[in-house]
Parts: sequence; structure tokens; C-alpha cells
Amino acid sequence: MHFVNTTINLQQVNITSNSIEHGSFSALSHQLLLDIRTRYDAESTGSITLNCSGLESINSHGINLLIMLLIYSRRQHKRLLFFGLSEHNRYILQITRLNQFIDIADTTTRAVSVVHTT
Amino acid sequence: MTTPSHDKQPRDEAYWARTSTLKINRVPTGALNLNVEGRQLLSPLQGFGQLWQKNFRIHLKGSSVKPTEVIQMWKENFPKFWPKWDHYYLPLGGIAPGEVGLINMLIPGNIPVGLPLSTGVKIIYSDDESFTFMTPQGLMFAGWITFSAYGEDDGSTIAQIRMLIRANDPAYEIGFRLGATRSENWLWQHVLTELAATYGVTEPVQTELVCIDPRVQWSQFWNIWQNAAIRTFLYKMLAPVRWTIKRILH
Repeated sequence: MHFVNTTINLQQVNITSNSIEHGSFSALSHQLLLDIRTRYDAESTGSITLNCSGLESINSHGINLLIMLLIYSRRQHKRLLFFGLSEHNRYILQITRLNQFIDIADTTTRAVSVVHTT
Repeated sequence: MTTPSHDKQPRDEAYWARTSTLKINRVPTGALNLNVEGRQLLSPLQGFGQLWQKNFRIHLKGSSVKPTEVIQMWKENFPKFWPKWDHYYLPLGGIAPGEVGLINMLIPGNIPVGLPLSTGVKIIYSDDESFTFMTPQGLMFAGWITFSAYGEDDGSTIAQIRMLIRANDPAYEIGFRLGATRSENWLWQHVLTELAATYGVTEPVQTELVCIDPRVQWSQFWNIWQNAAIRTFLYKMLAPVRWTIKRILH
């Protein structure tokens, strides 16, 4: 499977208001979860990869979304991999201690490497 | 933990706390500061019990109050909406990112008798339309509670409490399964009812309880070592011993 097909670019996910259309995790979006499930349920890949380079901000509702993603990835026995995170968004994952459950890659190249070794 | 650089300040940077450790700068008069200092925050993935998402909502029908006004009022008067026998002590800096609020309450929480519990919560996020508490080691549950308000199409406002939590350790999980979860639900329904009453609104609280992950996490069994209820109980039981030692030393 090609890496590009398994990546969700947060700026390109087509979902309705209150969510991430402006580059921010700002609400618990069932649509985003459905989108990810649609893509990944049938996939044999061991990773769910999110391109966060367009992610400007995360608010408290967005943190709930991340938990849902983590629960989903655990159930599916897939690892959750973020790349392109800004320093500030990494910091939020540290504060909320979610960084202990999410793999974070600095670059696309590194993310591709991680996915291919999963 | 390092802090982010300020080269290009993200728009939400001011809304987030800057550490994941609890530290109290000044203890409010009458509050017991126990099971708080130096404790680490726990995400819902670091607790023991089943993972629940709980939503409590109240429709402020007939009131023209705006969501931002609700949140501002909620922040300023947060302790007033709690039951009389449970105490949330507003931090010196108010409900603001990084502040820690002390909690002295009786569990299960819905009656004026019970097991004393001294703990606290950290405000990890706060903006004009919401604020979030994150729980530390020892509290009944691991996770966060988001208080928010949003507008409806008809111009009215809905106040909401959304929790994503799991019992912190096996003792709490047993308690929740034996009925403490109903008491805890009552607490938040009470908070919203009192909040609405401020605006002269008497609407029922809509409650949604969803079990997100029914499995327990045995790897977190030893969270029980930090159990704040057990520690508070022991602290109270040993009060005569502490008093005697103090008398002898003076």
C-alpha cells in the first residue's frame, strides 16, 4: 500500500463547521472519525497517519477527538502517527500526556519510514 | 518540560496551561491542601476503569444571554453551583490556564455525608467559550471535563459539561459500578440546574452517557497507591496522632 493513500491531511478533510476546516481541531467531529474509519477499516496497514502541518490550533474539544482517534487505533491494533506538528501542538500533546500514546515524526520522510517499518 | 518558542505565537497559545504538574501557590482559607502538590495530570488513557463520555446540557430557554457571557459568569461563580457540602476553591488567578482549584468534598457527592476527599484539578485550557479541567493522580477519575456554551439557531444558548473519563483505580471503579457514577452524574446535573437558575431558567438537564471503551486497563492497577480518598481518610484518622505529637514537641 502506498503511503500517500494512508495519510489524512487535516486541511483536506471535508467536514462541516466547528471542526477542522480552518486548520484547527476545534470540535469532536464524528464526520472526521467516520472519514478515518472509512479509510482505515479495510486497510491492512499498521498505522494511521495524520499530516498535521496545516493544523493551526487545538482546543479542548479537539483533545476529545484525539482520544477518540486513539481509542479507535488501539481497537484496530494500529499505531497513530502524526507528522508536521508545530512545536506548540507538540507541547499540547505533552501537557495532556497524549504524546505517550502517539508516535510523532518530524518530517514526511521520517513518517514514511515509520509506516514502512510497522 | 520545555516551553514552546515564541517566534510565531500560535493563536491558541494563551489558552493552554504550561505544565502538567500540579502546584498550589496559595491555599485558600479553610481549604485542605492534600493529594495535590506535585501530582501529575492523567489523560483518560492512563486511568483504570471503563472509558465514558458523558454529556450534560441545559437549554437556557427564554434567556438572551450569550455563550461568552455564560462562560464568563460560570468562571467567576464556579464554586457557587456546587452542592453546599462539596467545596471547590476558586484559584487565586481564577479559572485561567495553569491554575489549580482545590476540591474538598464528600464522596459519593450527592448527599451531605460520605467519605472525605481532598484533591484538586488543573485548568489546562480556557478561552471565551469553554474551559477544561484535567484530573491528577488520586482523583476519582482520569481525564478531563470541558465546560462550554454555544448558541442555537433560535438565538438561545446551551450550557454544556462534557466529560471524557475513566475511573482512576480499581477501588474507584468498584465504587462507580456500585452506584457512585449516578451520584457523580447528579453532581453535574445539579451544577447545570444551578447555573440555569441564575438566569431564571428551569429546564431539565439532557444527559448522554456513552461507554467508549468497556475494557479496564489492568496495567494501571497500581494507580490505587495514589488514591486520594484512601489517603484523605487516613489523614483524618491520624489527626489525633498529629495533634499529640504537636503538643509534645511544643
